[in-house]
Amino acid sequence: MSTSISTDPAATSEGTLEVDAWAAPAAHAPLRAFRVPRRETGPRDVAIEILFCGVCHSDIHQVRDEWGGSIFPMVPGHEIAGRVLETGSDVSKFASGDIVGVGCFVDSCRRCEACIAGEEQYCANGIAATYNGLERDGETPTYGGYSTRITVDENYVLRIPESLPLDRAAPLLCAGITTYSPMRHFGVRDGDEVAIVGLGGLGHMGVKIARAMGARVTVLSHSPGKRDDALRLGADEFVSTASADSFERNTERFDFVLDTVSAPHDYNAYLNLLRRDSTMVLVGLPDPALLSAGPLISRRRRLSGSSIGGIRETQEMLDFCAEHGVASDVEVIRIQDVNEAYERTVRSDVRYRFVIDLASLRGPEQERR
Amino acid sequence: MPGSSGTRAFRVSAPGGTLDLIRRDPAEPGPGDVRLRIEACGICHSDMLTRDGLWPGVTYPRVPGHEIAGKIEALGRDVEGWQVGDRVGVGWHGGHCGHCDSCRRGDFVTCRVAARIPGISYDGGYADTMIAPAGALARIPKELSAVEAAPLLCAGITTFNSLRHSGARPGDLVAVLGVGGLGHLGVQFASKMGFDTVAIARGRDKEALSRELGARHAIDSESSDPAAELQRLGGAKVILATVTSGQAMTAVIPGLAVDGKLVVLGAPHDPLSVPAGLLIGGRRSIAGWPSGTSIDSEDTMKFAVQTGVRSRNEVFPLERAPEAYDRMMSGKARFRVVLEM
Repeated sequence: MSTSISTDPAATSEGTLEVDAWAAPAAHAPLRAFRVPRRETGPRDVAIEILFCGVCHSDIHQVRDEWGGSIFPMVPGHEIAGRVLETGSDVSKFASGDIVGVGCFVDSCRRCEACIAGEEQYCANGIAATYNGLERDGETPTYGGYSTRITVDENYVLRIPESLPLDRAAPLLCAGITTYSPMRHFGVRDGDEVAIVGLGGLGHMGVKIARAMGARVTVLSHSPGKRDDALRLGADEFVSTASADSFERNTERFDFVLDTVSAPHDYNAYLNLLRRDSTMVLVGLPDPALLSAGPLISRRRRLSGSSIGGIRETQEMLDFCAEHGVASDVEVIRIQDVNEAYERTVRSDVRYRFVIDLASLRGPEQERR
Repeated sequence: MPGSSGTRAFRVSAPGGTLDLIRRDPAEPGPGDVRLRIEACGICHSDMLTRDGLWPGVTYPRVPGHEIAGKIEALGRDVEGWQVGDRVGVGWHGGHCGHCDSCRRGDFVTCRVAARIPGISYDGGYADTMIAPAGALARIPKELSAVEAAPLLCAGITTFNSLRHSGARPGDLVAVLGVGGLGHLGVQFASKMGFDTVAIARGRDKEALSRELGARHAIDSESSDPAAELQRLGGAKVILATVTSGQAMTAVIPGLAVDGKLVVLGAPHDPLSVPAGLLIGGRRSIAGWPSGTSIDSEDTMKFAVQTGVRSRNEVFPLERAPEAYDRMMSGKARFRVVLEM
């Protein structure tokens, strides 16, 4: 942290300032107000005033240490949308006032094959996750978007097109790219039959994006009550997997299956819905499940997975969403309601994403307008 | 007891039954079919599907065998492009309908209406003669003997065809899981295709053989963790699974590189366990591949002639078919068991 051009009054020690946030002090503890250190704006940094941050189910998994190795105190949030406050001296991509976003990572090694290919999400040396991770120095903890401000290297900042409503754009940074990337990578095309399995935060983005790509979209869900929503979101058809013959009636029908379900389920049944030479991609994170190879071999099918997307592709996704008028369906909440929102998310009682309005965290003394 | 006249065949009378020698008069080929004089037939692990009644719809009595090499002895009506005396083979793909959407796209191996398999759908190659559809015939190049050609018609085509469609490129790290009937051909093909080839086998005794077959790296899956070894080599772009254990397949998935793919060639006895996190975290895949058609068999044999790839066989005369079958099932054969007529 060599040069700083910041004159922020909140600066506490050299190179660091403290900003308001909400954090989980320990696993399972409720989130509460917290002061979080942010580095001052370095030459390649962009300082961002966070306006909205989406609540992703993985926030809850990590706050509750369900994947192990969580770092506390933890400020979650990797669906960040905001406005540029200031830029470092060498920053060329952004200027003060720009509307920007930050997704699931804030840095990567920049040297491995994946990073050079622009697929930083698969960085061989591990990405610096936006929260519950470490900066590239291997020491400094990262803190996420349930906060008023964040400092990020310009190469890991996205430009959010002005036509997108900012609260509804925030979830695109994770839920949007998670569904967009596999459909692009595995080549969903105009006119393809695409199945979206599960209609939650990921699934509802999958429906909208697949539809915008020109696909004919079918939602498969075990909740018959989601039919109306599926059709309203743009699906052409709804199949209730609760009915016994739903799999048989749709055998060998789809060119692509996007499986967003994180509860254990039978992959074999869904693989049989694929046409020959087609792929089913997992983006939820279920526990290991059994797979018999027959459905794969007989029709040359493939079962794969996909994790978020690289910076270049995330920008492409944001531009695509702006062009096609795609954004998330959200329920905007105050930061003070985040613990209750977690409970509701776990109960699937959200249509389809909670987004925190960070104005609720900003006292008058921090207002800059 | 069978008489001394007629042609010989070994057939199974009921699921789980023995291989019994019978003698019968050669059948006349129907329209579109030919009669083959069989010279050699490989014994494949999947012959157990017939022996043990594990393939849905298999009817009995049935003569097993789908790695068949011989000569055309008689032509049925409406057979064009083939002559009596032509040296031909038949593999796993033994016929198709010609009118379903797969067939009309020229993708006969995934025919959904009438995909036929010698030794399962009709009598196969543990015999002196058989009837086969002309559409399933592959020409055998003059450089290959019948015994050399036979194993290439299932073990060979399945490994060759899956490797060449795997997406791996010259120099990529490609692992062959299992060095048996399929695997020992897979190692040779992978090496000749220019892949940085890894052989994964149980025990140290196959290491020297694997290297002799063209592997640059040999991993003993009993004394080391094959996935960790693959990661030490940079991670595999493709792992070709030629084993019959789903557990062994599951164990190597963490050895795949980003965008790496496990290609499963045969349905294992036990299911795989899918580690969703590994698939998601590196866009890794598990895919299946079903051998190929007669023209793929010709490509396989042509490539074998061009590069010197050969199956290493233990050859038994037809009358010792039951013993030969047991030898294959023992897993101890080095590496393919072939019946010679």
